[in-house]
Amino acid sequence: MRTRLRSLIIGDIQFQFKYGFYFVYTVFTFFYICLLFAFPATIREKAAILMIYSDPAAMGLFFMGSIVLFEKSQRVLNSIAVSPVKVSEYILSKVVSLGLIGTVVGVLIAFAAGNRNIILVIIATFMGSVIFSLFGLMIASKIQTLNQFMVATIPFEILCLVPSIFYLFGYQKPFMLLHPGIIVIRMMEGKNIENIAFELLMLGIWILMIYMVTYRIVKKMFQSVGGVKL
Amino acid sequence: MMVSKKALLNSFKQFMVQIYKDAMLILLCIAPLLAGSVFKFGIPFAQELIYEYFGLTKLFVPYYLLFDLLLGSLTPLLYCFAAAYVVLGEIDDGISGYLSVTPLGKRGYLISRLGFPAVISFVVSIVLMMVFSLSDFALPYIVGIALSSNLLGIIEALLVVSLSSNRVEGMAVSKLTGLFFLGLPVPFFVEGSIQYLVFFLPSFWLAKFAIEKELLFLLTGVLVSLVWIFMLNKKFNRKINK
Repeated sequence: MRTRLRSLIIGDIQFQFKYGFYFVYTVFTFFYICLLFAFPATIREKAAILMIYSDPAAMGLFFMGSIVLFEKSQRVLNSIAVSPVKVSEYILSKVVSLGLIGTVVGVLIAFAAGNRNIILVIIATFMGSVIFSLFGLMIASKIQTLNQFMVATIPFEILCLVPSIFYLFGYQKPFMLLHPGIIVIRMMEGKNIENIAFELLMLGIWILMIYMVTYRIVKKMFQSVGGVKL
Repeated sequence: MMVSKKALLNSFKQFMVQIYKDAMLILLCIAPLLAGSVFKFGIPFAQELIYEYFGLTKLFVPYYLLFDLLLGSLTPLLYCFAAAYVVLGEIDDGISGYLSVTPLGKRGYLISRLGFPAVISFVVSIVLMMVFSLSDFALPYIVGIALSSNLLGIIEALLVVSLSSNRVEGMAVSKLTGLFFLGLPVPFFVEGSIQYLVFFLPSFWLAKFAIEKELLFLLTGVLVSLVWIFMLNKKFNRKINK
Protein backbone atom coordinates (compact mmCIF):
# COMPACT_ATOMS: atom_id res chain seq x y z
CA MET A 1 0.00 0.00 0.00
CA ARG A 2 2.83 2.35 0.90
CA THR A 3 4.53 1.80 -2.46
CA ARG A 4 1.24 2.47 -4.25
CA LEU A 5 0.69 5.74 -2.39
CA ARG A 6 4.29 6.77 -3.03
CA SER A 7 3.91 6.02 -6.75
CA LEU A 8 0.70 8.04 -6.86
CA ILE A 9 2.34 11.01 -5.16
CA ILE A 10 5.35 10.85 -7.48
CA GLY A 11 2.96 10.59 -10.46
CA ASP A 12 1.04 13.66 -9.30
CA ILE A 13 4.26 15.62 -8.74
CA GLN A 14 5.48 14.71 -12.25
CA PHE A 15 2.08 15.76 -13.64
CA GLN A 16 2.25 19.10 -11.83
CA PHE A 17 5.81 19.64 -13.00
CA LYS A 18 4.93 18.79 -16.62
CA TYR A 19 2.05 21.23 -16.73
CA GLY A 20 4.00 24.17 -15.37
CA PHE A 21 3.04 24.39 -11.67
CA TYR A 22 6.66 24.43 -10.56
CA PHE A 23 7.58 26.99 -13.20
CA VAL A 24 4.63 29.25 -12.28
CA TYR A 25 5.44 29.09 -8.59
CA THR A 26 9.15 29.74 -9.19
CA VAL A 27 8.14 32.94 -11.00
CA PHE A 28 5.61 33.88 -8.33
CA THR A 29 7.97 33.17 -5.43
CA PHE A 30 10.46 35.56 -6.99
CA PHE A 31 7.70 38.10 -7.64
CA TYR A 32 6.28 37.87 -4.11
CA ILE A 33 9.72 38.24 -2.52
CA CYS A 34 10.43 41.35 -4.64
CA LEU A 35 6.99 42.72 -3.76
CA LEU A 36 7.63 42.13 -0.05
CA PHE A 37 10.54 44.54 -0.10
CA ALA A 38 8.24 47.26 -1.46
CA PHE A 39 6.31 47.08 1.85
CA PRO A 40 7.47 48.95 4.97
CA ALA A 41 9.45 46.59 7.26
CA THR A 42 6.77 46.92 9.96
CA ILE A 43 4.07 45.19 7.94
CA ARG A 44 6.34 42.93 5.86
CA GLU A 45 5.74 39.84 7.97
CA LYS A 46 1.95 40.30 7.93
CA ALA A 47 2.03 40.84 4.16
CA ALA A 48 4.08 37.64 3.76
CA ILE A 49 1.56 35.65 5.83
CA LEU A 50 -1.29 37.02 3.73
CA MET A 51 0.58 36.09 0.54
CA ILE A 52 1.34 32.55 1.75
CA TYR A 53 -2.15 31.91 3.06
CA SER A 54 -3.95 33.27 -0.02
CA ASP A 55 -1.76 31.79 -2.72
CA PRO A 56 0.64 28.85 -2.23
CA ALA A 57 -1.45 27.43 0.60
CA ALA A 58 -4.66 27.99 -1.37
CA MET A 59 -3.39 26.65 -4.70
CA GLY A 60 -5.48 23.47 -4.34
CA LEU A 61 -8.64 25.52 -4.48
CA PHE A 62 -7.45 27.20 -7.68
CA PHE A 63 -6.02 24.23 -9.59
CA MET A 64 -8.03 21.20 -8.43
CA GLY A 65 -10.93 21.83 -10.83
CA SER A 66 -8.69 21.74 -13.88
CA ILE A 67 -6.77 18.70 -12.59
CA VAL A 68 -9.88 16.58 -11.96
CA LEU A 69 -11.63 17.72 -15.16
CA PHE A 70 -8.50 16.87 -17.15
CA GLU A 71 -8.35 13.45 -15.52
CA LYS A 72 -12.02 12.94 -16.42
CA SER A 73 -11.50 13.98 -20.05
CA GLN A 74 -8.42 11.75 -20.40
CA ARG A 75 -10.28 8.81 -18.81
CA VAL A 76 -7.67 8.68 -16.04
CA LEU A 77 -10.38 8.42 -13.40
CA ASN A 78 -11.94 5.45 -15.23
CA SER A 79 -8.61 3.63 -15.02
CA ILE A 80 -8.02 4.56 -11.38
CA ALA A 81 -11.58 3.52 -10.46
CA VAL A 82 -10.96 -0.07 -11.64
CA SER A 83 -7.39 -0.25 -10.25
CA PRO A 84 -6.52 -1.30 -6.68
CA VAL A 85 -6.01 2.41 -5.80
CA LYS A 86 -8.23 3.36 -2.89
CA VAL A 87 -10.22 6.59 -2.70
CA SER A 88 -8.21 7.58 0.35
CA GLU A 89 -4.93 7.11 -1.56
CA TYR A 90 -6.20 9.19 -4.48
CA ILE A 91 -7.15 12.01 -2.10
CA LEU A 92 -3.92 11.78 -0.09
CA SER A 93 -1.79 11.85 -3.21
CA LYS A 94 -3.43 15.03 -4.50
CA VAL A 95 -3.31 16.73 -1.11
CA VAL A 96 0.32 15.81 -0.32
CA SER A 97 1.69 16.66 -3.78
CA LEU A 98 0.07 20.11 -3.84
CA GLY A 99 0.93 20.66 -0.17
CA LEU A 100 4.56 20.05 -0.97
CA ILE A 101 4.89 22.89 -3.52
CA GLY A 102 2.77 25.19 -1.37
CA THR A 103 4.95 24.56 1.68
CA VAL A 104 8.26 25.07 -0.13
CA VAL A 105 7.01 28.36 -1.63
CA GLY A 106 5.54 29.41 1.74
CA VAL A 107 8.81 28.79 3.58
CA LEU A 108 10.81 30.79 1.02
CA ILE A 109 8.43 33.77 1.25
CA ALA A 110 8.31 33.62 5.07
CA PHE A 111 12.09 33.41 5.31
CA ALA A 112 12.53 36.39 2.97
CA ALA A 113 10.14 38.39 5.16
CA GLY A 114 12.28 37.71 8.23
CA ASN A 115 9.95 35.14 9.81
CA ARG A 116 12.10 32.69 11.75
CA ASN A 117 9.34 30.36 13.02
CA ILE A 118 10.12 28.16 10.06
CA ILE A 119 8.97 24.88 11.63
CA LEU A 120 5.62 26.44 12.48
CA VAL A 121 5.38 27.98 9.00
CA ILE A 122 5.98 24.53 7.47
CA ILE A 123 3.31 22.90 9.62
CA ALA A 124 0.80 25.75 9.18
CA THR A 125 1.26 26.11 5.41
CA PHE A 126 1.00 22.37 4.86
CA MET A 127 -2.12 22.00 7.01
CA GLY A 128 -3.68 25.09 5.42
CA SER A 129 -2.90 23.64 2.00
CA VAL A 130 -4.53 20.33 2.97
CA ILE A 131 -7.75 22.16 3.90
CA PHE A 132 -7.85 24.18 0.68
CA SER A 133 -7.03 21.12 -1.47
CA LEU A 134 -9.73 19.04 0.21
CA PHE A 135 -12.27 21.80 -0.47
CA GLY A 136 -11.00 21.96 -4.06
CA LEU A 137 -11.36 18.21 -4.50
CA MET A 138 -14.81 18.28 -2.95
CA ILE A 139 -15.99 20.89 -5.48
CA ALA A 140 -14.08 19.41 -8.44
CA SER A 141 -15.79 16.05 -7.97
CA LYS A 142 -19.19 17.67 -8.42
CA ILE A 143 -18.63 19.88 -11.48
CA GLN A 144 -18.43 19.44 -15.25
CA THR A 145 -16.77 22.66 -16.45
CA LEU A 146 -14.03 25.03 -15.33
CA ASN A 147 -16.46 27.93 -15.07
CA GLN A 148 -18.69 25.90 -12.75
CA PHE A 149 -15.62 25.25 -10.61
CA MET A 150 -14.64 28.92 -10.51
CA VAL A 151 -18.16 29.95 -9.46
CA ALA A 152 -18.45 27.16 -6.88
CA THR A 153 -15.15 28.06 -5.22
CA ILE A 154 -16.24 31.64 -4.46
CA PRO A 155 -18.20 30.88 -1.24
CA PHE A 156 -15.32 28.72 0.02
CA GLU A 157 -12.81 31.46 -0.76
CA ILE A 158 -14.92 34.02 1.07
CA LEU A 159 -15.39 31.75 4.09
CA CYS A 160 -11.72 30.81 4.28
CA LEU A 161 -10.10 34.12 3.39
CA VAL A 162 -12.26 36.99 4.65
CA PRO A 163 -12.32 36.18 8.42
CA SER A 164 -8.60 35.38 8.30
CA ILE A 165 -7.74 38.70 6.65
CA PHE A 166 -9.88 40.60 9.18
CA TYR A 167 -8.11 38.76 11.99
CA LEU A 168 -4.66 39.38 10.55
CA PHE A 169 -5.31 43.12 10.33
CA GLY A 170 -6.67 43.59 13.82
CA TYR A 171 -10.34 42.55 14.05
CA GLN A 172 -9.80 39.83 16.67
CA LYS A 173 -12.59 38.19 18.68
CA PRO A 174 -12.11 35.04 20.82
CA PHE A 175 -14.74 33.00 18.90
CA MET A 176 -12.71 33.54 15.71
CA LEU A 177 -10.00 31.26 17.10
CA LEU A 178 -12.13 28.28 16.04
CA HIS A 179 -11.73 29.21 12.37
CA PRO A 180 -9.14 26.91 10.75
CA GLY A 181 -7.68 29.69 8.61
CA ILE A 182 -7.14 31.87 11.65
CA ILE A 183 -5.42 29.01 13.49
CA VAL A 184 -3.11 28.63 10.47
CA ILE A 185 -2.35 32.37 10.46
CA ARG A 186 -1.65 32.44 14.21
CA MET A 187 0.72 29.52 13.81
CA MET A 188 2.56 31.31 11.01
CA GLU A 189 2.86 34.39 13.24
CA GLY A 190 4.33 32.21 15.98
CA LYS A 191 1.63 33.38 18.39
CA ASN A 192 0.37 31.34 21.30
CA ILE A 193 3.14 28.71 21.08
CA GLU A 194 2.26 27.43 24.56
CA ASN A 195 -1.11 26.24 23.19
CA ILE A 196 0.33 24.72 20.04
CA ALA A 197 -0.90 21.22 20.92
CA PHE A 198 -4.47 22.53 21.22
CA GLU A 199 -4.20 24.39 17.91
CA LEU A 200 -2.83 21.32 16.16
CA LEU A 201 -5.67 19.27 17.61
CA MET A 202 -8.22 21.81 16.39
CA LEU A 203 -6.72 21.82 12.90
CA GLY A 204 -6.60 18.02 12.95
CA ILE A 205 -10.32 17.87 13.81
CA TRP A 206 -11.15 20.33 11.01
CA ILE A 207 -9.09 18.37 8.50
CA LEU A 208 -10.67 15.08 9.56
CA MET A 209 -14.20 16.47 9.21
CA ILE A 210 -13.51 18.02 5.79
CA TYR A 211 -11.72 14.82 4.71
CA MET A 212 -14.73 12.68 5.64
CA VAL A 213 -17.07 14.81 3.50
CA THR A 214 -14.55 14.89 0.63
CA TYR A 215 -14.11 11.10 0.85
CA ARG A 216 -17.84 10.49 0.44
CA ILE A 217 -18.06 12.86 -2.54
CA VAL A 218 -14.95 11.51 -4.29
CA LYS A 219 -16.13 7.94 -3.72
CA LYS A 220 -19.44 8.81 -5.37
CA MET A 221 -17.51 10.32 -8.31
CA PHE A 222 -15.44 7.12 -8.66
CA GLN A 223 -18.62 5.05 -8.66
CA SER A 224 -20.20 7.10 -11.42
CA VAL A 225 -17.35 7.73 -13.89
CA GLY A 226 -18.42 7.34 -17.50
CA GLY A 227 -21.94 8.41 -16.63
CA VAL A 228 -22.96 5.03 -15.19
CA LYS A 229 -23.48 4.41 -11.50
CA LEU A 230 -21.55 1.33 -10.42
CA MET B 1 -13.17 34.51 -45.87
CA MET B 2 -16.32 36.14 -44.51
CA VAL B 3 -18.06 34.31 -41.71
CA SER B 4 -21.84 34.12 -41.99
CA LYS B 5 -23.71 36.20 -39.44
CA LYS B 6 -26.05 33.29 -38.69
CA ALA B 7 -23.16 30.93 -37.87
CA LEU B 8 -21.58 33.54 -35.60
CA LEU B 9 -24.81 34.22 -33.74
CA ASN B 10 -25.55 30.50 -33.35
CA SER B 11 -22.09 29.88 -31.96
CA PHE B 12 -22.40 32.83 -29.57
CA LYS B 13 -25.82 31.58 -28.46
CA GLN B 14 -24.25 28.20 -27.70
CA PHE B 15 -21.57 29.95 -25.66
CA MET B 16 -24.15 31.95 -23.72
CA VAL B 17 -26.17 28.82 -22.95
CA GLN B 18 -23.04 27.17 -21.59
CA ILE B 19 -22.08 30.01 -19.27
CA TYR B 20 -25.72 30.33 -18.20
CA LYS B 21 -25.73 26.66 -17.22
CA ASP B 22 -22.45 27.14 -15.34
CA ALA B 23 -24.00 29.99 -13.31
CA MET B 24 -21.12 32.07 -14.65
CA LEU B 25 -23.58 34.43 -16.36
CA ILE B 26 -25.01 35.53 -13.02
CA LEU B 27 -21.51 36.10 -11.69
CA LEU B 28 -20.60 38.16 -14.77
CA CYS B 29 -23.64 40.37 -14.11
CA ILE B 30 -23.17 40.78 -10.36
CA ALA B 31 -19.38 40.85 -9.91
CA PRO B 32 -18.70 44.14 -11.78
CA LEU B 33 -21.43 45.88 -9.77
CA LEU B 34 -20.08 44.52 -6.49
CA ALA B 35 -16.52 45.46 -7.40
CA GLY B 36 -17.66 48.93 -8.51
CA SER B 37 -19.42 49.51 -5.17
CA VAL B 38 -16.37 48.32 -3.22
CA PHE B 39 -14.10 50.67 -5.20
CA LYS B 40 -16.47 53.64 -5.03
CA PHE B 41 -17.41 53.43 -1.36
CA GLY B 42 -14.89 51.03 0.22
CA ILE B 43 -11.70 52.83 -0.75
CA PRO B 44 -12.70 56.30 0.53
CA PHE B 45 -14.00 54.57 3.69
CA ALA B 46 -10.67 52.74 4.15
CA GLN B 47 -8.93 56.08 3.60
CA GLU B 48 -10.98 57.60 6.44
CA LEU B 49 -10.19 54.67 8.74
CA ILE B 50 -6.47 54.95 8.02
CA TYR B 51 -6.65 58.66 8.80
CA GLU B 52 -8.53 57.99 12.04
CA TYR B 53 -6.21 55.24 13.33
CA PHE B 54 -2.82 56.13 11.86
CA GLY B 55 -3.21 59.84 11.12
CA LEU B 56 -2.12 59.28 7.53
CA THR B 57 -3.93 61.73 5.27
CA LYS B 58 -4.50 61.07 1.61
CA LEU B 59 -2.64 57.73 1.60
CA PHE B 60 -4.83 56.40 -1.22
CA VAL B 61 -5.81 59.67 -2.88
CA PRO B 62 -2.84 59.84 -5.33
CA TYR B 63 -3.73 56.32 -6.41
CA TYR B 64 -7.46 56.82 -7.04
CA LEU B 65 -6.64 56.81 -10.74
CA LEU B 66 -4.86 53.46 -10.35
CA PHE B 67 -7.94 52.05 -8.59
CA ASP B 68 -10.08 53.33 -11.48
CA LEU B 69 -7.85 51.55 -13.95
CA LEU B 70 -8.14 48.35 -11.92
CA LEU B 71 -11.92 48.78 -11.95
CA GLY B 72 -11.87 49.38 -15.72
CA SER B 73 -9.72 46.29 -16.33
CA LEU B 74 -11.66 43.99 -14.04
CA THR B 75 -14.73 43.51 -16.26
CA PRO B 76 -12.79 42.59 -19.44
CA LEU B 77 -10.58 40.29 -17.40
CA LEU B 78 -13.58 38.52 -15.88
CA TYR B 79 -15.48 38.21 -19.19
CA CYS B 80 -12.46 37.14 -21.22
CA PHE B 81 -11.35 34.56 -18.65
CA ALA B 82 -14.85 33.07 -18.53
CA ALA B 83 -14.67 32.82 -22.33
CA ALA B 84 -11.14 31.37 -22.22
CA TYR B 85 -12.22 28.66 -19.76
CA VAL B 86 -15.05 27.66 -22.11
CA VAL B 87 -12.59 27.45 -25.03
CA LEU B 88 -10.13 25.43 -22.90
CA GLY B 89 -12.85 22.88 -22.12
CA GLU B 90 -13.84 22.74 -25.78
CA ILE B 91 -10.23 22.19 -26.85
CA ASP B 92 -9.82 19.35 -24.32
CA ASP B 93 -13.07 17.75 -25.47
CA GLY B 94 -12.09 18.17 -29.14
CA ILE B 95 -15.07 20.43 -29.91
CA SER B 96 -12.97 23.42 -31.08
CA GLY B 97 -11.43 21.40 -33.91
CA TYR B 98 -14.86 20.30 -35.12
CA LEU B 99 -16.37 23.79 -34.92
CA SER B 100 -13.49 25.30 -36.87
CA VAL B 101 -14.23 23.09 -39.90
CA THR B 102 -17.92 24.09 -39.97
CA PRO B 103 -19.05 27.26 -41.83
CA LEU B 104 -18.06 29.10 -38.63
CA GLY B 105 -14.35 28.60 -39.33
CA LYS B 106 -11.45 29.29 -36.96
CA ARG B 107 -11.90 33.02 -37.15
CA GLY B 108 -15.62 32.81 -36.54
CA TYR B 109 -15.04 30.48 -33.63
CA LEU B 110 -12.67 32.93 -31.97
CA ILE B 111 -14.92 35.92 -32.70
CA SER B 112 -17.94 34.18 -31.19
CA ARG B 113 -16.01 32.99 -28.14
CA LEU B 114 -13.68 35.91 -27.40
CA GLY B 115 -14.77 38.81 -29.63
CA PHE B 116 -18.43 39.02 -28.61
CA PRO B 117 -17.75 38.82 -24.85
CA ALA B 118 -15.10 41.54 -25.33
CA VAL B 119 -17.63 43.80 -27.07
CA ILE B 120 -20.12 43.29 -24.23
CA SER B 121 -17.47 43.90 -21.58
CA PHE B 122 -16.42 47.07 -23.45
CA VAL B 123 -19.93 48.49 -22.96
CA VAL B 124 -20.13 47.24 -19.36
CA SER B 125 -16.76 48.75 -18.42
CA ILE B 126 -17.77 52.14 -19.89
CA VAL B 127 -20.98 52.17 -17.83
CA LEU B 128 -19.15 50.91 -14.75
CA MET B 129 -16.49 53.61 -14.96
CA MET B 130 -19.10 56.32 -15.55
CA VAL B 131 -20.95 55.27 -12.40
CA PHE B 132 -18.23 54.09 -10.04
CA SER B 133 -14.92 55.77 -10.91
CA LEU B 134 -13.23 57.79 -8.19
CA SER B 135 -11.72 60.33 -10.60
CA ASP B 136 -13.59 62.69 -12.90
CA PHE B 137 -13.15 61.41 -16.43
CA ALA B 138 -14.62 62.86 -19.59
CA LEU B 139 -16.45 60.26 -21.69
CA PRO B 140 -13.77 60.08 -24.46
CA TYR B 141 -11.13 59.10 -21.87
CA ILE B 142 -13.43 56.47 -20.39
CA VAL B 143 -13.95 55.05 -23.90
CA GLY B 144 -10.17 55.04 -24.46
CA ILE B 145 -9.52 53.25 -21.17
CA ALA B 146 -12.31 50.73 -21.85
CA LEU B 147 -10.92 50.06 -25.33
CA SER B 148 -7.37 49.46 -24.05
CA SER B 149 -8.47 47.31 -21.14
CA ASN B 150 -10.66 45.18 -23.41
CA LEU B 151 -7.79 44.59 -25.80
CA LEU B 152 -5.79 43.57 -22.74
CA GLY B 153 -8.57 41.14 -21.77
CA ILE B 154 -8.52 39.60 -25.26
CA ILE B 155 -4.72 39.20 -25.03
CA GLU B 156 -5.02 37.46 -21.65
CA ALA B 157 -7.65 35.07 -22.99
CA LEU B 158 -5.61 34.37 -26.13
CA LEU B 159 -2.51 33.72 -24.01
CA VAL B 160 -4.45 31.12 -22.01
CA VAL B 161 -5.97 29.33 -25.00
CA SER B 162 -2.98 29.45 -27.31
CA LEU B 163 -0.07 28.73 -24.95
CA SER B 164 -1.64 25.82 -23.11
CA SER B 165 -2.18 22.30 -24.31
CA ASN B 166 -4.99 21.49 -21.90
CA ARG B 167 -7.10 22.77 -18.99
CA VAL B 168 -4.41 22.23 -16.36
CA GLU B 169 -1.75 24.09 -18.30
CA GLY B 170 -4.42 26.71 -19.09
CA MET B 171 -4.92 27.40 -15.39
CA ALA B 172 -1.16 27.67 -14.88
CA VAL B 173 -0.91 30.12 -17.79
CA SER B 174 -3.91 32.10 -16.53
CA LYS B 175 -2.10 32.55 -13.24
CA LEU B 176 0.99 33.80 -15.05
CA THR B 177 -1.03 36.24 -17.17
CA GLY B 178 -1.74 38.17 -13.99
CA LEU B 179 1.78 39.49 -14.40
CA PHE B 180 0.57 41.28 -17.55
CA PHE B 181 -1.11 43.78 -15.25
CA LEU B 182 2.21 44.79 -13.74
CA GLY B 183 2.43 47.56 -16.33
CA LEU B 184 -0.43 49.40 -14.60
CA PRO B 185 1.42 50.56 -11.45
CA VAL B 186 4.72 51.27 -13.26
CA PRO B 187 3.99 54.89 -14.34
CA PHE B 188 2.68 55.60 -10.82
CA PHE B 189 5.75 54.34 -8.96
CA VAL B 190 8.69 54.41 -11.40
CA GLU B 191 9.99 57.79 -12.47
CA GLY B 192 12.05 58.67 -15.52
CA SER B 193 12.61 56.91 -18.79
CA ILE B 194 13.46 53.59 -17.09
CA GLN B 195 9.69 52.97 -16.91
CA TYR B 196 9.71 52.40 -20.69
CA LEU B 197 11.48 49.08 -20.09
CA VAL B 198 7.99 47.57 -19.84
CA PHE B 199 6.91 49.04 -23.21
CA PHE B 200 5.80 45.58 -24.36
CA LEU B 201 3.04 45.48 -21.72
CA PRO B 202 -0.20 47.04 -23.04
CA SER B 203 -1.21 47.74 -19.42
CA PHE B 204 1.72 50.20 -19.15
CA TRP B 205 0.38 52.27 -22.06
CA LEU B 206 -3.10 52.13 -20.58
CA ALA B 207 -1.79 53.70 -17.36
CA LYS B 208 0.29 56.25 -19.29
CA PHE B 209 -2.80 57.30 -21.27
CA ALA B 210 -4.89 57.63 -18.10
CA ILE B 211 -2.24 59.77 -16.37
CA GLU B 212 -1.07 61.97 -19.24
CA LYS B 213 -4.33 61.99 -21.23
CA GLU B 214 -2.28 61.96 -24.46
CA LEU B 215 -3.82 60.29 -27.49
CA LEU B 216 -0.37 59.12 -28.57
CA PHE B 217 -0.13 56.78 -25.55
CA LEU B 218 -3.56 55.33 -26.32
CA LEU B 219 -2.59 54.68 -29.93
CA THR B 220 0.75 53.13 -28.92
CA GLY B 221 -1.07 50.87 -26.47
CA VAL B 222 -3.57 49.80 -29.12
CA LEU B 223 -0.72 49.08 -31.52
CA VAL B 224 1.20 47.01 -28.95
CA SER B 225 -2.02 45.11 -28.15
CA LEU B 226 -2.72 44.41 -31.82
CA VAL B 227 0.79 42.99 -32.26
CA TRP B 228 0.17 40.64 -29.31
CA ILE B 229 -3.28 39.66 -30.65
CA PHE B 230 -1.87 39.01 -34.12
CA MET B 231 0.94 36.77 -32.81
CA LEU B 232 -1.28 34.85 -30.41
CA ASN B 233 -4.03 34.41 -32.99
CA LYS B 234 -1.47 32.86 -35.34
CA LYS B 235 -0.35 30.52 -32.58
CA PHE B 236 -3.95 29.58 -31.76
CA ASN B 237 -4.68 28.79 -35.43
CA ARG B 238 -1.62 26.54 -35.61
CA LYS B 239 -2.76 24.76 -32.47
CA ILE B 240 -6.28 24.14 -33.79
CA ASN B 241 -4.81 22.81 -37.05
CA LYS B 242 -2.85 20.10 -35.20
